[in-house]
Amino acid sequence: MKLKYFAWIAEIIDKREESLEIPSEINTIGQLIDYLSSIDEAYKKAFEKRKNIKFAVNQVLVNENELISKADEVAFFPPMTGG
Amino acid sequence: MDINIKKDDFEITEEIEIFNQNSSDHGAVSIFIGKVRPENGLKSMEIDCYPEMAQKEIKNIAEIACSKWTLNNIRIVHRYGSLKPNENIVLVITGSSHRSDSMSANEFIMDFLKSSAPFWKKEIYSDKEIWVEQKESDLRKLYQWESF
Repeated sequence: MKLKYFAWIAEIIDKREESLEIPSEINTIGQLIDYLSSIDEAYKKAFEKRKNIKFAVNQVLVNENELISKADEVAFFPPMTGG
Repeated sequence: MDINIKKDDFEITEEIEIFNQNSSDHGAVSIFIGKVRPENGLKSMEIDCYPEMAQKEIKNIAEIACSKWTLNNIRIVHRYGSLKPNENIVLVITGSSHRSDSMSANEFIMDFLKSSAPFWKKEIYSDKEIWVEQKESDLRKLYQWESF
């Protein structure tokens, strides 16, 4: 699965993107966050304030219950501050 | 409708010229330019961006604007990367037959860009770096359009 990180989330994880093999039992964004938080302290720290994080699957904004598959591009970022 | 997400600066007269070439039948053109506010001690503004999503999201915003108002053309340019105080960040040009459509649509698009387009600003000072947080007031402006 292709994962992308932006703004302070990318800074904490110290990566902007990566490809990871995700266990087959991980089916939603929420489960993916729990999984990533369990394998490394940096993810745990980045996802600590979960309410402050937004997600997109294949460049479309979704909620934590969104179903994901290994072909998807999943992005994590804070609330937007464009314009 | 043209959407351009890029690092380089934009030149206003060139942008208006392109806009006019693509649609010359409007009686009203509204232009908004957002710049880096020269806050005290601000050295630069770093703008992070998810370009592929920004392209989709801004196109979506522009299409909603076209469904709400009678518009002849829209041109949106949004920059990312490292910007100095007073540099241009964003340009929104809207054209219509009558001014109320182009002015309202322009404000609507800007309100959406503020809180819905995947850009993130970081202020760089000599002694600190601050990620700008989404403002409650910007979100309220966004919600006001829902009942429009």
